[in-house]
Amino acid sequence: MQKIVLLSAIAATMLFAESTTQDSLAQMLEAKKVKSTITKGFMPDISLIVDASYTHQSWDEEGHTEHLELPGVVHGGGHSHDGHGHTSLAGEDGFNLNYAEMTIGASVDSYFDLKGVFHLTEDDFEIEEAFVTTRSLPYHLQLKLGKFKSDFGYLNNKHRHNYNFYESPLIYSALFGDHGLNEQGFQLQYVVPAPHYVMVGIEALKGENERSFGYEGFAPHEAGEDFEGIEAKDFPNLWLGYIKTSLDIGGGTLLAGASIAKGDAQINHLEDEEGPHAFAGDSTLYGADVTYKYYFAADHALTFQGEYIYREQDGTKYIPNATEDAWANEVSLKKEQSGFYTELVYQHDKNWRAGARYSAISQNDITANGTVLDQPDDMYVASAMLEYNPSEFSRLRLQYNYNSSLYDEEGHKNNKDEIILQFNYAIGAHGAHSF
Amino acid sequence: MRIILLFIISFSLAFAKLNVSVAYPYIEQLTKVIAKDRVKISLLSRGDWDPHFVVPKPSLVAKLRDSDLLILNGASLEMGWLPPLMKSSNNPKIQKGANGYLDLSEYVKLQDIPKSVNRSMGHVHEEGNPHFAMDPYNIIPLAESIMLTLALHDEANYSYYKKNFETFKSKWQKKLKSYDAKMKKCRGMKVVQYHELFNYFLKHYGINSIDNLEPIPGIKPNSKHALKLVDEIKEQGVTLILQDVYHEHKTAKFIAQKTGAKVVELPHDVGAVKGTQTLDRFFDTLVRRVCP
Repeated sequence: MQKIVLLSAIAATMLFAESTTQDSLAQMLEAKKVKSTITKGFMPDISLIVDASYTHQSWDEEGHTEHLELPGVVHGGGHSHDGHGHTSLAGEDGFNLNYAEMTIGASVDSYFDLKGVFHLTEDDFEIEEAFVTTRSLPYHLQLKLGKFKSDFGYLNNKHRHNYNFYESPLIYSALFGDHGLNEQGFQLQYVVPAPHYVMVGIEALKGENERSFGYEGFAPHEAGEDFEGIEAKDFPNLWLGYIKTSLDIGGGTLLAGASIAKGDAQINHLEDEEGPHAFAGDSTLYGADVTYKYYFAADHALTFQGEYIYREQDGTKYIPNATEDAWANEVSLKKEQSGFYTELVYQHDKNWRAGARYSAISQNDITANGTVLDQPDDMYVASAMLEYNPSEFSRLRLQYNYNSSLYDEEGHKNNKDEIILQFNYAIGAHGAHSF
Repeated sequence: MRIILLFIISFSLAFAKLNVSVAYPYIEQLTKVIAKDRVKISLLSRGDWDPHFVVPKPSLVAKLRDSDLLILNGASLEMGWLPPLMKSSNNPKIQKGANGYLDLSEYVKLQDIPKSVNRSMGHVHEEGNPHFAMDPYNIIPLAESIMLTLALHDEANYSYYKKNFETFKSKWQKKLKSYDAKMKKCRGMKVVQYHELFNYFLKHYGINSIDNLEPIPGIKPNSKHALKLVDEIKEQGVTLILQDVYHEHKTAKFIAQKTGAKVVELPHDVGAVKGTQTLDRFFDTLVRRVCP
């Protein structure tokens, strides 16, 4: 009995002694701090980016730019979604204020960080991203929830001002639209305890991409009440998974990733003035990306980047009937489409960069009711750019595009030469760039 | 029996080794001086790189993921590269405010604190000039803050760390005396620098930095500013142009030709130039090149 008391007394003193040393060490450390004259208040990081450009286009057929399309991938017409207009595939000529982007971010508390990214155009305010991320989950996990750019592929989570070229590559805009995979939902990422960087992530999302995913139900405009049409899908409609890894080899850094996205695709074009239709089915996308950056010095580098995306879409195309409670036509559709881009960017120093990119849609296999449709698969855009960055916060970019991807309504290719002078300015919080 | 016990002890010690990530080579040296081989150190940058723009390689995320402690320079020097890496490491121990986050700038007196900041002034740091490690007199307080933080995480080695720190301190105090003696003759000398990297060093030894090759911090020299410098250097009798390793050397050479001032290449961190792999040799080189 005595022994136990004695032992516990010793143990208690040891514990106590340990905590007092800890406390005194912490106090000593605190006492060594030099009072700095600036005490920062609770101001979140705020930044504003403004992007404008001057574009000069010239077409093979100047008169045929109204109804351009990527046949079988994106149909033309320059229609609008949800009230906000998207530019037609022809692009904008002349001087344009492309967008302003405002970012506000700060730690909520010791558990969460909050970030909002607001995409502003001349007449519209969009919440591009608004999400919280965890700061202190165990087991190298991080949870994100809200609306955010998905980490599918390499380029999708980047904002436009971080692009190496004026616009997103052909395959991205064809399969994901103007805003990429930008969705509401959850994301969980795990940094694997491996000798190299390995990260795996999953995302459960609403699935409301204008090109590849949709959850809303639809029925023809004039359908009666007893006509059910296509029902809406429950959350989450879109699931994603990816793995990314990196190795430092040969004086450079290799980053590679593989991604998969699968979800229902209920895409409603019933309001379109010409050729109204809707699609219900599912889309599965596979992506593979690779980046290799070789450094001569920290700000003197050569970067190769490439990405391949494949989409399989399976379902039924519905053509509405204006007079009856039925679809006028239902077509069973299977689409297998893919494309890629490769780019090479040379950074001479902090001020000068130059690069070239080739992006293409190289597979366009469509089967309708069992019949193989003859669709073009020779759509590509070749680009070259030269950049001058007067400082970290301003950029001038001159870009040339040869766009051989667009077809007019008669099925003829209409090639475009385009010169773009882009101006990009940023103020506010000093945002660091990721790899 | 004893051998087995020793083996077990040494094994458990090896297993319990603290993982420390350090932002810059000088911090690696300070940590080594105190902890020797009792911690595992991962260096995130290189001594010959611009400390403001370290390449944010994903391999650094893997290093940060496993760290118990992150020691950084602070005063926004890492602002352009470290925060996203910390965030993607998914390691709560080293996030700002956690006890595995040591910001060295809190333990020295910062200089050149701007009264107001505006980006038209270039890449200025509102906290003040972050290159405080260039003053050899700051080395002891920096080492002490590292010693106390290491002890806080690894109490079993407190006395070991303390002993090493005390040894280093007395050795460094002798160093400081020899630097004082060597730098005495250069008091009042006039220099220009490329970027305000060496202010702390120069101020301590009474050397006047008249102007910079950069018209404003972070902005490349232009010919108009270079010509203005030529006049200034002639008027004020500037003898040295302090060039760092990572900026272009052409402007300095041009100005030197026009004025007769001498260009010296200075290391801004351990390992930036040959023969500066330790703190002693780094400061020896700095002293020798500024005041030969």
